[in-house]
Amino acid sequence: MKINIKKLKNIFKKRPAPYGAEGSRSGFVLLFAVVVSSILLSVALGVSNIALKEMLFSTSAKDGNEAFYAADTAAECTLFYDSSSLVDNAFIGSNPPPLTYCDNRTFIFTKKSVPDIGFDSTFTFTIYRLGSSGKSCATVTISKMNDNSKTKVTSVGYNNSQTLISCIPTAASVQRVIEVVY
Amino acid sequence: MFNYFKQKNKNKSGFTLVETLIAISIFSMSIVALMSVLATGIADTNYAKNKIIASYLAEEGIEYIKNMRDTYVIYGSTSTQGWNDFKLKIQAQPACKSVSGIGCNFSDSLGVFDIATLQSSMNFSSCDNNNACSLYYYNTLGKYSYNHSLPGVDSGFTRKIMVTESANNPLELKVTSVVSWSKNSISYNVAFSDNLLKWKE
Repeated sequence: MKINIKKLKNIFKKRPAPYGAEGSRSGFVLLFAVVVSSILLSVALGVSNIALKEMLFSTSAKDGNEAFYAADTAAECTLFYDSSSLVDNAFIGSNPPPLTYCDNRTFIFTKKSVPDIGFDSTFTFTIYRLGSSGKSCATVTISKMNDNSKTKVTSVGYNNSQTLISCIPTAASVQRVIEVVY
Repeated sequence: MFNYFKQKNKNKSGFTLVETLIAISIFSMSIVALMSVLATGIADTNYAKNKIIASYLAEEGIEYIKNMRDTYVIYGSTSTQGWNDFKLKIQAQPACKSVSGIGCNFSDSLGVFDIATLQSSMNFSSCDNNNACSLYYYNTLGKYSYNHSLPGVDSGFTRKIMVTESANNPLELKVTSVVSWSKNSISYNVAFSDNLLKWKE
């Protein structure tokens, strides 16, 4: 398409718009309004995008803490049942603690058929309905050597579980892990 | 029909006026959209900022109690004695017990947080009286505190600490920290809870 330079120049000529706006000059105000509007709308879009990002950021700060405290609760419960003042040699061999309470509920440690690498026995336990919203949950793995020389507790907390009777994270769940080795 | 447009095109007077009116309406619509998006955006950003502050304040509340537990259990004559002293201290204030739902605050301006100071000077007081649980912000220290006597300004945040003892296990305590604030007469809150146990041998 051939651009008519003369006509294009004509647009910017400073003179009052004629009544019968002819040729390329007609519709200029409309074009101008659309251009300015799109600039303003893109500014608005930018602002709302920043606001959305900040909302997501603040939510992630809260969710991260929920997941962390779920993991912390589960880790504390495991450390509690591992302390020798309660049951001797808990988690050694096939000896999970007989009756375990965490967050005022009974939970059972189950022994994994194959212990984690580098350990003689591994037990797991899942706790759910934690946190202020009651949606966070955690899964703990405790691995021990038979001579009690090394213990590893790994607590994986999530801020949100798919159901309230399991600890299966959703696609948007935030995960925090606490690992205790002694 | 064709003739009508042809005639219209021939007679162009008034076109600029119509064009200007349409242009003004498009322009004003975009200005209104920009204004409303800006207003919502600024309000959302403000809310996000408050939510971040509130989550850190709630976290701080739990960490304070956790630190108290650790200090008592580590430096008590025995760990069980330390745990019992800690529980007694916090449960001595009825407002701290979650059943009341009132919540309590604690002395957070002691400077040192050792066992002697905790035993002698740590006090838990009810949130019920005189806005006791509102947090003041001290610009020079960059710190939020329950202490209202220092020169500081009311941050608008209120933090309540609540504890629940496990019915099945006397060596377990659930700590809940709730930070609330209000904006345009709508109140918001962020709450975290953590279970503390006496696991030290």
